[in-house]
Amino acid sequence: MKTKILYLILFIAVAVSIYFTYERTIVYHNFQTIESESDV
Amino acid sequence: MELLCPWEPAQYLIFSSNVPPLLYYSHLTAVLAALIFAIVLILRASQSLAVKLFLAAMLFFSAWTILDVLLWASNRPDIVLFYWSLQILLELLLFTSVLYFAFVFIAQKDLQFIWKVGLALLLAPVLVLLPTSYLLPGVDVSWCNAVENPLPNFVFTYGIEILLSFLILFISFWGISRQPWRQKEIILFTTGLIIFLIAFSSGNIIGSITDDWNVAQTGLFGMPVFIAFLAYTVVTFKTFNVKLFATQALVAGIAVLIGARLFYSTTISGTILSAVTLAGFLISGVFLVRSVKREIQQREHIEKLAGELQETNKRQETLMHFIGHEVKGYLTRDAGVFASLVEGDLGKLPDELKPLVERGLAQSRDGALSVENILTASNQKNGKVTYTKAPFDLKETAEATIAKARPNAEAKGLALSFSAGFGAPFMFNGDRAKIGDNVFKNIIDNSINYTLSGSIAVSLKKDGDKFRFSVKDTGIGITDEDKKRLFTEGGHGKDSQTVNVHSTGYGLFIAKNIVEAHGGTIRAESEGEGKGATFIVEFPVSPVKVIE
Repeated sequence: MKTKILYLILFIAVAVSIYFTYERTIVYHNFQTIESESDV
Repeated sequence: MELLCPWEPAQYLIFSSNVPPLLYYSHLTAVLAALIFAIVLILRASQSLAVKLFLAAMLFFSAWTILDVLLWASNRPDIVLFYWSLQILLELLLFTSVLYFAFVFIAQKDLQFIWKVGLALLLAPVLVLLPTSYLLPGVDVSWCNAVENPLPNFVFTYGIEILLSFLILFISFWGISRQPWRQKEIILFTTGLIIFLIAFSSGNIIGSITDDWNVAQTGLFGMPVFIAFLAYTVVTFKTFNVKLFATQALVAGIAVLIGARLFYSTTISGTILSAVTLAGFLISGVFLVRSVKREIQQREHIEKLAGELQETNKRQETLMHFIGHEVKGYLTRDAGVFASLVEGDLGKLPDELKPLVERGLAQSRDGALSVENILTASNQKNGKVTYTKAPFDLKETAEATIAKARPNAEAKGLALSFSAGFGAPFMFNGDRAKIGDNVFKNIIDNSINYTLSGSIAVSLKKDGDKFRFSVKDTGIGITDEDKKRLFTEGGHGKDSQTVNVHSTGYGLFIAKNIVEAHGGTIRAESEGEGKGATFIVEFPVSPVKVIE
């Protein structure tokens, strides 16, 4: 039972983390973009 | 407008000019190896915690690998950063689940709750920091690579991965010290696992440091290596009761290699050819797996029968011993009664009764001797015979044995002679009673039984560093076919029982065992049927170590 609760907490934590990461990157574009020197 | 990386948008999520062709191959091979093996295991041992954990680890690995292809193909920095973040999370989930799996596989028990909490806590920094710009502040749009904050990125991801790898090594050493009998299994398992983890981790670390992510692709080849090690371990040590995996893995591996050609084919005919080859191979592969499965079932059936047979043999042997001892007891008591009658303990026997009683005595003694032979052979086979080691004269023993055998020979009208080498001492270190009664007597009796007329010449001489005892008769002889059976347990010559109906087939087998226990040899020579035979026993002159 204890293990199941731990897994549930972990699952929620992972889901929340992924959700906020999704918001940061894809929804709000909250990151820097740099252009390093390249020959492309 | 948002900056995009300098190549076209991905088609079907995975195709773009930025993806090196080798990447599909390395990723597909790794994912298929991981998933096929995990699915095969889960189908066979769905209740096993280790298998469940292995499946979880392989799903994390596969998700990481698939995301990697998507990441290479995409030209959108936001998507790249999202995938990159997920990969970091998946990497840690992979390492923690692999550690948990390694512990359960090696220790064969579940991890304590406190350790599970500890493992979960290792994920906490990344879970918290991932949605912030602390770990991955941005994206380099020239290459669509995430910009990593070196120190926290190293500490919270690679640092933890290295720590977990060392913990796996520690668990492995601990496992070997606790279960030394599983040493080989644990070493194989850990070697495969560590090769995979080092290849995977170091590829990513080098990519992070040099920004050359092509190197990271080679790290994925560690997965098929790990699967190969694990498959070998699982099949060899029958872990999870998997028996068929080698063939299935071979079929799947070849199918992957043929299937991978589909990605390289540039012409329609090439694609069709590859697809047809793959289909043909898969059909033959199914037949191959089925046939191997059938063979395994047959082998297991035979092994089961062999086990049952061994058990039955053991029971029969015990029964035979019991019956043998009982019968021997009756015969010995009968012989005692007959001996008393013959010797006149109960008064003088009438003349017409005396031959009958004498025959009764002889037959009781023969019967007891036959039973004794069978019991001795059985004891020899089970290593239950003890030998008494003491110096004795082989010549005296041979003479005494011949003296006992002479009446039988004379009764059949056979000339029994004995000659011994002059002057040679025939002192030998061994079990006098067994050599006299079970070797010399068995061979001489044998010759008497199988010689219908003529003579039996016994000789003893010293020949170099050997004492040679030989018995030469003019009996029925031995065919080449019979020679093979002569010294085997219960081995009779083809027609021997027509000449000697009382033959148990154990006499020469017992003699051979005794001779060999004394470091000697025994053999029979004969020119063939009807041409007589010579039995030769040789003992080493120097004292030998006798089995006690």
